[in-house]
Amino acid sequence: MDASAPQESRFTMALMSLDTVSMRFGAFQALSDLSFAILEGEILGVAGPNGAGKSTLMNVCTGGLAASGGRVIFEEQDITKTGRHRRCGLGIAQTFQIPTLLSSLTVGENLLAGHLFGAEASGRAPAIDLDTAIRTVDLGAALNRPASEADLLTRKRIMLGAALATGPKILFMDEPLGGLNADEIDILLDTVRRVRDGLGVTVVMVEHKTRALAEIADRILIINFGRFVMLDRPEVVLNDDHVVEIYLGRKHDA
Amino acid sequence: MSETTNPGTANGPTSIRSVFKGDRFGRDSGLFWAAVALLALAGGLIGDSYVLHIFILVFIWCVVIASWDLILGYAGIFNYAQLVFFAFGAYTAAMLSIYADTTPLLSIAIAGLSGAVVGVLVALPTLRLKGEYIALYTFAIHLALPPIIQQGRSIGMGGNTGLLGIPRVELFGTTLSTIDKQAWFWLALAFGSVCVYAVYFLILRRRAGLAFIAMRDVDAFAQAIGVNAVRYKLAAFMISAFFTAIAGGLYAHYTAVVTPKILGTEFFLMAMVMLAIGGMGRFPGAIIGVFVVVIGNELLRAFDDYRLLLLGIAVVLVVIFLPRGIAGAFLGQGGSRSR
Repeated sequence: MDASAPQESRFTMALMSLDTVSMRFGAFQALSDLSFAILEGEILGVAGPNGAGKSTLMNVCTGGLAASGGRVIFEEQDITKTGRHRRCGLGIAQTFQIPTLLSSLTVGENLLAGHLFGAEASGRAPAIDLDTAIRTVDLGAALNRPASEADLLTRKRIMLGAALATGPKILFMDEPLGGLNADEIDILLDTVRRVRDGLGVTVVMVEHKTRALAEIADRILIINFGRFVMLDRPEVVLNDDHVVEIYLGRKHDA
Repeated sequence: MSETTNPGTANGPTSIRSVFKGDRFGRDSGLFWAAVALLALAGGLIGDSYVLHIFILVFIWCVVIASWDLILGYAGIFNYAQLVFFAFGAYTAAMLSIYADTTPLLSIAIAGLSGAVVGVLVALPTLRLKGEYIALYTFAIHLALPPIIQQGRSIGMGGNTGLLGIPRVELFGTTLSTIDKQAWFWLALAFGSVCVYAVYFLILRRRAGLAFIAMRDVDAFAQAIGVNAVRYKLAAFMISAFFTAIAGGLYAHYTAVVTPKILGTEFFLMAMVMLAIGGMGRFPGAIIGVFVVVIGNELLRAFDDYRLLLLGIAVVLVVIFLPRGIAGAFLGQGGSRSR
C-alpha cells in the first residue's frame, strides 16, 4: 500500500480527455455521454460491473473502435477517428485482456516488433529504448525462447514489454490481473509501478480486482451501463454507498 | 540508445537473436546460393530434355509458390487469386511480345509491374473483409477470370484456344526456343532463384516480414504496436502479384502457348498441395513442396488414372501426420525461427 496517499494536486495536466463520448452498436448504447480526463502521470483505475462498458471505453481510447459520438482528445489533438497504429505513433499503447502475442516468434522478437513498428508509426526512435523495456518487464533471460511456450505471467509481461517498446506516453491495460494468483498479482503490480514511476508512462487500468486496483491506482473511475458514476481517489470511491450498491446490490435488498 | 531505429545494423546492447536483425543472414544466403549452384551444375549434367523440362517447371513454380507463401503463409491473408496473377502475367507478357513486338524480357518485366498494380486493385476490397471472406472474394476472382479471357477474344486474347506462337526469348544474341531445354533450365533457375531469394531473404527477413507475421499472428495486437495494416496488406498483395506475374510471363515465353487452362482446377490444386506438403510460412518448406510435388507428380505418371488419387492420398497422409508440412516436421523450432 502506498503510504503517502497521492495528493490530488500531484496530477494536474490532462493527457487525454473524453468529451461526451458515446458508442452505439445498432440499438445498443454501450457508452453514453462519458466525459472525464486522464491526468498525465497518474495510474487511473477503471472499474464497473460486467457489461458496464469498460472494454468499449478502452477501445474507444486506443483506436479499436471509433466513438460514434463525442470527441477523444489526446494532447490537444482530436483522435476520435484515428486508427490504432496511428494512435500508437502518437504515444498510446495498450495491452489486451486475453494475452495476445506474436506466438510464432521469440519473446525478444515480440519486443523488437514493438520497437521497430513503434518507431515506424511515430517516425522517430521510441522514447523508451528496447533495453529499458526489456529490463522493466524483467525478460532479459527469456529473450530467445519461443513466446508460445511462456506461462501466463510471462505472456502478460511480453505483451506489456512490446507495448512499452513502442515508447508510449500512455498505456491502457485491459484486465491485466485476470487469471493471476496473489503472488503474480504483486509482481505485475510492481511492474506497473515501475512503468509509471521509472518510465513516466501514464497508466489506465481496467480491472475487476478492486482491492488490487485500490492499492495501485491514484484515482478510480466507476462506470455502469456505459455511464459515468464517479471518479475520485480509491478510498473515496470504494466507500461510496452508490458504488457499493452497484457492486453488491441495494443494502435493503439483502 | 542511438541504434534504436535500426537494431539490425549493430549488435547493440540487447541480446535478442533474430533473423529480423540480420542474424544468420550471411550463412543462410550462402547455403541458398550453394544449393542454386549445385542445381546449375546438375543442369549441365542432365542430358534428358524431359527431366530438364520438369526442372524448368519446378523453378517457375517455385516463384509462384514463394509468392503465395509470402501472402498466405507469412502474412496470413487468405488469398486464393494467386493464379489470377500468374495468368495475368502470362497473358500480358505474351500479348506484349506478340502484338507490340516488345522484347520478351521487357514484356516479362512489364507484366511483373502491371501485375503489381493488379495485385493492389485485387487487394483494395480485402481491406474491408476478414479472414474467410477474403478467401471467398479472391477465389471468386479466380473463377471469374476464364469467362473474361473468353470475352477477351476480341482484344486478341485468343479465347479458349489461347495464344499461340509467343515470340522466343533472346538472350546474349541467341534465341531460346522451347526445345533449348538446357539454356531454359539455366534461365528459369536464374529467374527462380533471384525471385525466391528476394521473397524469402530480402523481403521476409526484413521489417516487412516481421509485419506480415505480426498481422498473421494477431492483427489487433500488431496494429496496437504500430503496424500499419493497410500498408502492409497492400504490400503483401503487390509483392506477391509482382513475382507471380513475372513467373507467368516467363512460363508463357517458355511454353510459347498460353491458354485459360492455367486457371484450371488441376493447376490450382497442385499449388495448394505444394504448400500443404511443404509447409506454409516456414522457409524452405514451400520450396521443398514444389520439388516434391512436381517431381512426384511426374514419377506417378506411370499410374496414369490413379495419379491424382495417389496425390490425394499423399496430401491426406501429410495433413494427418505432418500437419505443418515437411518443414514443420524436420526443421522444428529452428525452422520456424528462421522464417
